[in-house]
Amino acid sequence: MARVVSDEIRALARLCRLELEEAEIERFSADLSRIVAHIETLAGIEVEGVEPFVGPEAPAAQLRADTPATPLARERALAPVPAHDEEFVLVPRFKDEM
Amino acid sequence: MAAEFVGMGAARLAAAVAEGEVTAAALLEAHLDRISALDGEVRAWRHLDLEGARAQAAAVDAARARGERLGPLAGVPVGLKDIFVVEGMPTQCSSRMLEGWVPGYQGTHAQRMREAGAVLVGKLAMDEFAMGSSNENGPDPSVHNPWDLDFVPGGSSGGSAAAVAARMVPLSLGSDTGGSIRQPASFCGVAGLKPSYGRVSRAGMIAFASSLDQAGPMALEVEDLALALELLAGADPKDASCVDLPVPDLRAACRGELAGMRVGLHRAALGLEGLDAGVRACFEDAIARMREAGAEIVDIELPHFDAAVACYYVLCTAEAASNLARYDGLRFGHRVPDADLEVQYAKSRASGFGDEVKRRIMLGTFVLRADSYEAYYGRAMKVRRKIAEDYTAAFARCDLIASPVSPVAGFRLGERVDDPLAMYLSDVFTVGVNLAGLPALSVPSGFAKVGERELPVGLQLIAPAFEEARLFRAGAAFERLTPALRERVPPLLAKGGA
Amino acid sequence: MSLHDYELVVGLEIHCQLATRSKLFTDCPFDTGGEPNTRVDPFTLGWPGTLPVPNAEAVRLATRLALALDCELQAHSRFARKHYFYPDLPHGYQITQADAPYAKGGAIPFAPGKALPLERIHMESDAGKTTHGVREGVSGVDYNRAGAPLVEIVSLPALRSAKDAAEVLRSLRQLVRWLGVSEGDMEKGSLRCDANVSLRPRGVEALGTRCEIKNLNSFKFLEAAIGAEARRQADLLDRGEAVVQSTMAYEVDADRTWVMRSKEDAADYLYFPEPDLPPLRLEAAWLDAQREALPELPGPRRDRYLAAGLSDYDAEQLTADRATGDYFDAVCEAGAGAKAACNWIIGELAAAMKAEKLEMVACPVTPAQLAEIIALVEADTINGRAAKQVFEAVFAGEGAPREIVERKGLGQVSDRAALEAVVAEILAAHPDQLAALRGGKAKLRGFFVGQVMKQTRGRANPQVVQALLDAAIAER
Ligand SMILES: [Mg+2]
Ligand SMILES: [Zn+2]
Repeated sequence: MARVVSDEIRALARLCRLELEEAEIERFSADLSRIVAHIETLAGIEVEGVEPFVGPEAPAAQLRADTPATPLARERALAPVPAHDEEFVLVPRFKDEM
Repeated sequence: MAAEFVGMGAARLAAAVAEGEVTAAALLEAHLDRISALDGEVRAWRHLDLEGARAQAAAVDAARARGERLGPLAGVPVGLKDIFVVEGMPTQCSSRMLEGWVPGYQGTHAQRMREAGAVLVGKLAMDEFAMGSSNENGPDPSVHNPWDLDFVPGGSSGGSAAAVAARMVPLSLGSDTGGSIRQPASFCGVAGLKPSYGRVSRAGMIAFASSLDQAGPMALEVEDLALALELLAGADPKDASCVDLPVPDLRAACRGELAGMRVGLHRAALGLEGLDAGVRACFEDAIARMREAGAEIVDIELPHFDAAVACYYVLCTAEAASNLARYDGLRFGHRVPDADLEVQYAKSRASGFGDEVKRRIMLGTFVLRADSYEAYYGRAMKVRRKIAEDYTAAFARCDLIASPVSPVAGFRLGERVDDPLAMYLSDVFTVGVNLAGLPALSVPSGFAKVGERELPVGLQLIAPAFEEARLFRAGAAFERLTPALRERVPPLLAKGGA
Repeated sequence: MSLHDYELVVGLEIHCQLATRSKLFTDCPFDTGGEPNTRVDPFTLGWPGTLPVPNAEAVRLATRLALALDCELQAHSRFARKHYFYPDLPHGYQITQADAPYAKGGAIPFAPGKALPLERIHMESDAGKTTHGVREGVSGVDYNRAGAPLVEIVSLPALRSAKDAAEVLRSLRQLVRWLGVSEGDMEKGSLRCDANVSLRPRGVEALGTRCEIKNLNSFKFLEAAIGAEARRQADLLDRGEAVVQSTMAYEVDADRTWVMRSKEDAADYLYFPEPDLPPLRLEAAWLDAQREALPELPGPRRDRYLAAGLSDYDAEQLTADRATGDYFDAVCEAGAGAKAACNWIIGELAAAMKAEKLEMVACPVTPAQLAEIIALVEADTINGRAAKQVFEAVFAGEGAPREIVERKGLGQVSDRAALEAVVAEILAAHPDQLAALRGGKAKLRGFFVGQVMKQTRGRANPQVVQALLDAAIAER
């Protein structure tokens, strides 16, 4: 039984901005279904009252002094940018909604 | 003349350069000769910086001529996994997504290696974005195991392991998120260390899964790992998760004995379905040797051992999906232009990432979605705590835990590419260490038959967090118990390369 | 039904940029007004291999604000990642605080006896800025602002009018400037406000469906937009239609709100704890020190001034900003009476500062000097007219008040004998006017006082002159 059906794969692909071909959707649906089935074995572990473990913690949080460094020269900042002019990173016009 | 140095360890080479037995330039050329002789078959290297390396070697020789004090790795050729940022050197993480990216800043690892006098030869192949256990993921041709070219070198630090195994460099850096240093070290018959989480900076190492990733060295000898870790370890103002703890004298620890150490053995794991008989025999032999050398073998329990792979693949894919969101084709890397921004995103990412990366991004997104978060991600974080607590409890009874590195000694190229779940399940011995943030060492412990072929097998030693010194003590002592292993070299070298 | 049959319920989400020198998670300098993409570094641009490291000063400023708003500071909080693909968001996620903010509760006092209760305050990093149409069909992104430190103050839905909402924002602006936590400049975007608006029929307790109006960047627009959204919702409800939970934009020219997106197409932000950052811990001792270091806040200061006998108006003027009140306190400390000090500060001094476009901190008259001028007046050493001259001279940097009085001969003449002669001389010179005054034309008193002042070049003590005149009129 597929646990992650094709429609779900399409929705996921939209969410993570991946254009998938039909064959890929089929394949990922099969792969993810098997993997998710394995992952769901975690449901058998009693975790009531257990604190989530985000990651191994440094003994003391490292904070930084508010000392500004030299920023990148603009040419260097823009050098690896696929599309830019002298000032900006260029993108196709989009709807401003945030 | 300098060729006789090829195959020696890093510390030995640094001493030879410091003593004037050989120049850094000659040493570099001898290693470059080895690379050009063998890399057509092994394919460990993704980028060679001949000009840069020659300049660094010349600088070491000039410094020596001026009577300057040389660094602990002065003149030693070193290779870096392509996950490490080196300013001005193409850094691609074996992904089409970063094709042509030349970092405009220096990574911490490259900087610390250079400051120690190392000669950075170039970048080593890996699975794309460090996702994989075979070095078959990504746009580039696969790396071949120097012990048998039909076999994978392991992954994801397969290039780093293969280059050391083929004696192309005595020392390389890899990264380990779920076993990516230890497993290829085991497959290629070299030593590899995954340090405690927070021991080595992650700044300048391209992120796969932030709470699991650690950089570590791979070498022919355990003592070289100690030397490298001493140089790499320590707080870094560019990484808030890197710990400001003193680094003990790890090379001194290498002179310790196994006698008096309590080595934990999780027997239940040896009954694991899929544990190769040859690998198991090799491991039992290693345990017997340690006991003979005076180690006390104690039984331990790891009640959530079986949950580690599932837990790991929830957490690492979620973090990966997040860490790889920045690859959108706007500020660097691969882009498929389109007049529609959304189409541009989707096309750029779809064509920039390979299958395994896409699979993990999808899975990571799946477990993080608001409606499945609690059932998957939230639950996995809690299971992670239980796994970590298992180790804490086990270390109340022992100083170290010993286990196999991988259930198998190796597999053929192409053999497992169509079965991602089987590939994931083979990480069973290594991922728990990353989940708990512990240090672990893989040392060569013998050979096992895979069909008609024979491949190296590693022994994994695991210590409590920041107790790397115990690993070096036991690992180096174990190495001394098995001198024949160091004598045996990949047949490829005998055939002609050397 | 019409609008007043409904009760308006408003909650605010206010973003406030912290006044640090570098960004929240990297030592890249941050200041507004730079050329596009000149305040960027490898982390800001999301270059692979870079990691966030929190700025201690941002944590300090955020803490200071939360303490001043009487929030419960959390000993242990955590950053989280909020994901969305957007060109001005370089990492594909914003680092913010989700289920574990550093401050909970608290309130923004905004009028005597009134305060807007808060749900929480959290720290987060800002996004860059997009300029549309740099070319046909092309937008340009500037990452200078990306990663700038923000706090987001999230209130409970507890306001009942648009006017109160604007008042809250004004009070908050005053407070963040008072504390030195932020420039609090709405025009420059260092203070930005979103408003959650819902209606419910009067008498009903359950909240109606809310809509969030984004980016209200002036007090005026905030008030107007809430009004416009309330009208829109009332119209819908009157027609029996449901309000759909949506994100709204406010169109200034048309004075109306419109739907940017509705809940159905709301994004899944894939929140999860930021694995690059350890939890943020605020030590109790450090928090105590921060609490200790808080200045007197506007509310308590206003109350203190009222208790000292100042009027509402005076107290309001003196607490407009912290420096003015500090100055006032220093003048009083130096011995001046509250009312006199206040009059000078909100009168003469404010006018002079305004004319010279000076900030209070750059005031050329020290509190001690102003107190001295006031003392000279009270001791009858100078009269009011001379005091203004002295003030002007001190302001112009000509020296200390007493010195100026002496140098310019501005000391008041109170010597009865000396003034008697002057008065007698003037009365003698104007017999007709004197007769008229004696005949009851009281207005002429002023004429004689003026003449005496003229004769003494303004130095005569007016009280003594009045007394001498009284005596002369009575004498006949
Ligand atoms: Mg908000
Ligand atoms: Zn916000």
